[in-house]
Amino acid sequence: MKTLNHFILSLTALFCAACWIPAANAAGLLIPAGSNLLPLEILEHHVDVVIEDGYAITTVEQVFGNPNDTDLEAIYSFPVPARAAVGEFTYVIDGETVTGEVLEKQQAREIYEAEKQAGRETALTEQDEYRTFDISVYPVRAGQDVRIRLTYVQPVHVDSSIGRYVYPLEEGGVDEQKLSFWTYQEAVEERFSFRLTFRSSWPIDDFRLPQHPQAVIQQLSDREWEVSMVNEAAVAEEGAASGSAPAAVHRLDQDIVVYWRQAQGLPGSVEMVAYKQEPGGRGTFMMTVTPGDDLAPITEGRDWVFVLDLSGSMEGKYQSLVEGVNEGLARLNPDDRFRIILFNNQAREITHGFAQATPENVQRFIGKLENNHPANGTNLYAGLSLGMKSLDADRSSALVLVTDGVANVGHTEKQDFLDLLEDHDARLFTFVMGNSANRPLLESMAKVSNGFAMNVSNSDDIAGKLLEATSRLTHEAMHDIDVRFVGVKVGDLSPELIGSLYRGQQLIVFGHYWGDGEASVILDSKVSGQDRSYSTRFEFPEIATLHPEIERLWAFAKIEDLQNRLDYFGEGADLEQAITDLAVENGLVTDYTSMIVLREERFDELGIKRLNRERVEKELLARQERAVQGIRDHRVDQNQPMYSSQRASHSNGGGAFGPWMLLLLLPLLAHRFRTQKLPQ
Amino acid sequence: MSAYRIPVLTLGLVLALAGLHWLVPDKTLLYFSASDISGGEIWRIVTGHFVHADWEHLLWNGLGLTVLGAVIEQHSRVLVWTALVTGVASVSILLLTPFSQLDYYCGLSGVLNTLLLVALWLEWTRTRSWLIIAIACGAVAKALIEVSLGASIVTHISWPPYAWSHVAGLIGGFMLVVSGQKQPPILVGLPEKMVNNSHAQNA
Repeated sequence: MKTLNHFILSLTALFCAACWIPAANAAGLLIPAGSNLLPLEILEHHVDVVIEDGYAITTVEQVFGNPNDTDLEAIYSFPVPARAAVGEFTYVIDGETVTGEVLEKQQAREIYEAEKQAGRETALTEQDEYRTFDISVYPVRAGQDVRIRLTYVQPVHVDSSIGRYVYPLEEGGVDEQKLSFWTYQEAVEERFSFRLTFRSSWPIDDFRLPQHPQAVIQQLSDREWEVSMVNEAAVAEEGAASGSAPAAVHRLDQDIVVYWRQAQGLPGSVEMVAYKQEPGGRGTFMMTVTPGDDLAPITEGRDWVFVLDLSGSMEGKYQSLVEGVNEGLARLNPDDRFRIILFNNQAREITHGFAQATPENVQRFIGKLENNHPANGTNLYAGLSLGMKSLDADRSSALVLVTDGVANVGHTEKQDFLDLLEDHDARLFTFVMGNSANRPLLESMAKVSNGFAMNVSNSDDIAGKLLEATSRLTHEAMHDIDVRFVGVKVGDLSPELIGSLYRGQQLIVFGHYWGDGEASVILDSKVSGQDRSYSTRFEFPEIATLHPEIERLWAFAKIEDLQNRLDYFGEGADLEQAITDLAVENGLVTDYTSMIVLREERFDELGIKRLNRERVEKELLARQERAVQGIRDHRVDQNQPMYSSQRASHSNGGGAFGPWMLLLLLPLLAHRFRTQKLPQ
Repeated sequence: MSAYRIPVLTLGLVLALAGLHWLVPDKTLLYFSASDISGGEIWRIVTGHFVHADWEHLLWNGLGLTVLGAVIEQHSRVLVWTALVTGVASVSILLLTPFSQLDYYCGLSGVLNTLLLVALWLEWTRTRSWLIIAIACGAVAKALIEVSLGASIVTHISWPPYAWSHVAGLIGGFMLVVSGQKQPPILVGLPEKMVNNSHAQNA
């Protein structure tokens, strides 16, 4: 146990250290490389985040300026936030805010190009797979500016009583074609603001932004917190010298990571947020299960297979990686075994079979690792495939994959990777570095193998991520999880395959229900091969209108399921159409759909129904209503708790003397000096 | 005898704390961890108390050590060491018991509570001022409130607060003061010089 702890601690430190490299790229306006025109400017960038009721609503408002004497098109690109359902996109045309509508991707692009050709105002939000959201706006008139707003919704997870929200801005630089064509203009010239409002039914002990110490954090109560960062350009004094370029007030090149810590000793719980407009209609719900901390520590030894990315994008990070592997291996029990695989265009093993973790072996293979240099592409399949070979069926095996990129050499189809993982009995623990790695692929692989994928941002707290990984890997996990509802008709559940839950992780399930009343909820799982069940009873409401966003969140989760099925079974026109229909109906930007804004009259002329405008208006009304209400408690298992134990939290602690204690000490100090001349 | 003595030892200790925090970015091998200590990494019994989770954590504890160390050092440098050792021992005993259930612990605040009680006792025996009693009551009340709330008052460090370590530190201080009543006078605040003279005479 001690060894495993050390090992994981060192590994995680390694991965965090390895990705602690200044980002090469950022969110920003795309400027054609070599253009003679002055670049468009991001004049203002405002982020407003509201986290409550189990999900986060992020609104990004921007103003782009054009210093040239000719009209231009603005293209703003930013990393895809994790599980973000983009459902609202507005563009201010002639002083009026116009809300976008979702159309099939190709159709939306054609309409955008036609409007642009005709010189009419138009804007488009598209998704470039897992990499970026790209916003195109036309025209930014000569010497003028345009204002756009984008809103997305995400479920919020808490892991071991620590919540985490990321506003992603760093671009990982893995799309070489894009990078060779565009340069990024990430400077905000006039005003930047980041405001976060947090309301929780659980008491919160602390709030942190580890890489943004300038943020002002305000505790309104133990359940309500606010964070703000505002940077504004100084107003130029009259008569001041002009002509010099203003300094940027902010650069969109660093993720903003926010943590909050729940109070100690909170119980395991089940919470539910529902939306149902009509008593007789269909309702949508989001159920969040926070398990009690009843998973036992693991004591058996393991075989570890490191699969390490040696592709060109690891340049500058590789030496840290070697140091970390050295630290980790040095702490293994001599009875443990390890293998090391490196991959770029090809994969090769430097250990040639399992090596006992003796000091001599560790020293020998670290020396070999040090003689390698990152270069070439990423043949991830070859790396994993080699790692899977020669696993010992009698010992527990784990693969640790570290990568910051995308599979671009050899097998690159997701289905091939999933087949590979399914054919072997080994857990895959993936550390996804930065915002540009192929997250859908890496997460699917981890899920299929009953492992997990952990995202690590450059702005993450190293110690926090370290504790998170340690907590998961040093304890038993729940596998083959199945959730059943009895008493109320429930369907369309997502995720379709839940898979595994590790210590500290929450389970978030979306679904539809018909009717209302009390239902039993049973969670079946296997822990170390033994069946383990938990159950509770709670009420599904007849009507609930405060959270219309739940419908978009459900649709987004369902689309992820469909996409996984599509990846697994290969091309399927029916599945693609199902994704498109679901996205259009619920107003979501996906790989298959885009959101377009036109002049209001053009929607009518082109026969585009204003479905999303109606949905957005409904959501805005609900948001206003929620804002004036008190904090809502969504726990539904108070009467029959699903868990008898407290929820998991990081079992670490410290204590600071703090300002109150120092206030007590000052009189002591004053007393000491006042009475200095008294006998000792 | 009553001239102010620059607390060289205390300032050195504070600098050492800051240096440790600055020079060792990855402190995973230094945190207090009961399971690792039982596996042979006994250095953690000491190092865990002298490493900190973040700069805020270090700031408050560094200020506390400056004030308390300076007060005690006016009486005796040996007593600073004695209080530190007693504090480390009493907090470590708590952390090694199943009661604590912590995987990792760091920070000097528990030990500082031992120093606090010693400093208060020294000042009480020297001046008999009721201000000292008031400060002691405030310190005990703070520890009890933190234990009942399970949170640190005002401070927000990156690790969850563990208020029981403060209680353990206070208990350690109490034990030191009580045992000092039956020990050489150094523990109840007589200056080092007198104690040394006494030892010399005995020899």
